[in-house]
Amino acid sequence: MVIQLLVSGIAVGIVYGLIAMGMVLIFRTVGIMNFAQGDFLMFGGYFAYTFNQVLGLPIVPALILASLCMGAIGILFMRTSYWALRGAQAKAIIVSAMGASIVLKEGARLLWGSIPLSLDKVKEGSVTIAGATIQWQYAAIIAIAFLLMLLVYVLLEKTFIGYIMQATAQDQYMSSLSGIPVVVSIGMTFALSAAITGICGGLLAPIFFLSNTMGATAGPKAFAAIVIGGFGSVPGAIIGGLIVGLVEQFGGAYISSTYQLVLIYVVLIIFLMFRPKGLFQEKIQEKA
Amino acid sequence: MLKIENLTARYGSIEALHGISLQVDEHEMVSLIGANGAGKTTLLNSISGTVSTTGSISFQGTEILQAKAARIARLGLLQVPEGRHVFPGLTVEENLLVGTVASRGMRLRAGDSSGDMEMVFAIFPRLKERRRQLAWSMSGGEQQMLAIGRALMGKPKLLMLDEPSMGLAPIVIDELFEKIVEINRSGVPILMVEQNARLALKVSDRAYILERGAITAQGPSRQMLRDPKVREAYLGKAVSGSEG
Repeated sequence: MVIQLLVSGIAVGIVYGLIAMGMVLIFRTVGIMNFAQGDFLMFGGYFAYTFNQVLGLPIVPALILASLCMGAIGILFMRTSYWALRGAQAKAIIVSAMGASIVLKEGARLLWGSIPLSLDKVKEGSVTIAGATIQWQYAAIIAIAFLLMLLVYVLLEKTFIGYIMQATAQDQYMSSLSGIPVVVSIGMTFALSAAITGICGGLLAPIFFLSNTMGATAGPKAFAAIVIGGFGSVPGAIIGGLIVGLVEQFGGAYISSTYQLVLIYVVLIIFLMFRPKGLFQEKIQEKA
Repeated sequence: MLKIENLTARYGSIEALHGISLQVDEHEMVSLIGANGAGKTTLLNSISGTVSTTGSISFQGTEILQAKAARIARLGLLQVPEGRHVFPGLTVEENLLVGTVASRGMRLRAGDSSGDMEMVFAIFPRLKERRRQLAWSMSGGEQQMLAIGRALMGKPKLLMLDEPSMGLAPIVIDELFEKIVEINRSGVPILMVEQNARLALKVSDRAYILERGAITAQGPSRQMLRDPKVREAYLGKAVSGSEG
């Protein structure tokens, strides 16, 4: 039981961590928490459903195609919901993102209906380890999540385009003085963020079912992960996600599945009271 | 190569520059001096395309008044802004690589920039020692060197420096200005805003004096250094006797 919960907690948690990472990437670039991130998750899930169930592609290519589509949605979202407001107050952009969130939610209902859907698992069946039955899907999620994290790390920290994206996130003004077309650089960040979050939707769908309110459930959990991990920190977002996932799974099993979300908020409030800056700090510090 | 005519700049309803005309020729080092709030930074920002302006700014025959900041940078008009603005979370090397966008454009792969980087390291050997250090953790002088080095990676056709000496120790300033002169001698024209008027006039060929958004005097820097009015207003009386 403990091992099972541990595996499912890590699998679900790492997905929350990835969504949170997507939010952090956008936050670091434009200074705004994207409240439509959960809907990227939902939309990505529906794209994966379309490729997998409607068009009959195997699940892995379906996930890849879904993430590419979400990259395009990310750019579209940036152009329509952020770019025109980039000089405005943060609250204007937050409201605009909330509006986009409604558009995505209702758009999904129009396109795919409101009946919960499911799609193929990356690998069906389960395996028994030390007496615990573990679904292959959880193992697949953990493996894919690590792969995605590695890809993002390499992209941002080891490639030229990653340096440019970081430069734009750190100093937009100086980026344009250096000749960087800031709209392109920010667009790539939104695309990356939406693409990762979209894949997560396709991975979670076989476990939680796909509905147009999926994002509204997962988004706040990812937000909690960011606060627990430390605002603006990528490793923090992942660790925060794992904490949220484990609390959800263990709390659901040992305390009450009705109060799973409440338990997450209890942990969040404890962090806000005793460690409001979260577990990790940003890598850029004020010089002493 | 840079010719500004009748330039006005405004922030909302406030006009910050009133009909400025200014010119920088090949190989020249031109300094722009004036009190705080005279509009020196605004003038550089007008050229860089980050303030709204009217008039004419032509660079190598191209009108750039309406051009966007990123395009102006890619034309080779590069500014090192006040406060350096190094990319704090990138290493020295990464900062320099990002600088190549101005000369080689936005692209997926960096390609080989080792030649240009060695050239920058030859001017600022300290940067080579610190190549893997994150920029935020460096001293003010090193950050200024990095900011100038990053601009050099963009192969500037004209380099604009805004208050390069700001916040630096005198010994660091001397070293930095030697390098700035060296860069200028290598063929890069420089337009420099500097609060330290004495220093600016010593190293530059020509100078403009900006007062309350308008140019009130201009001429060869050497002549300016001897001008009693300039000496009184910008060089300070106390040390004026020691000047030769």
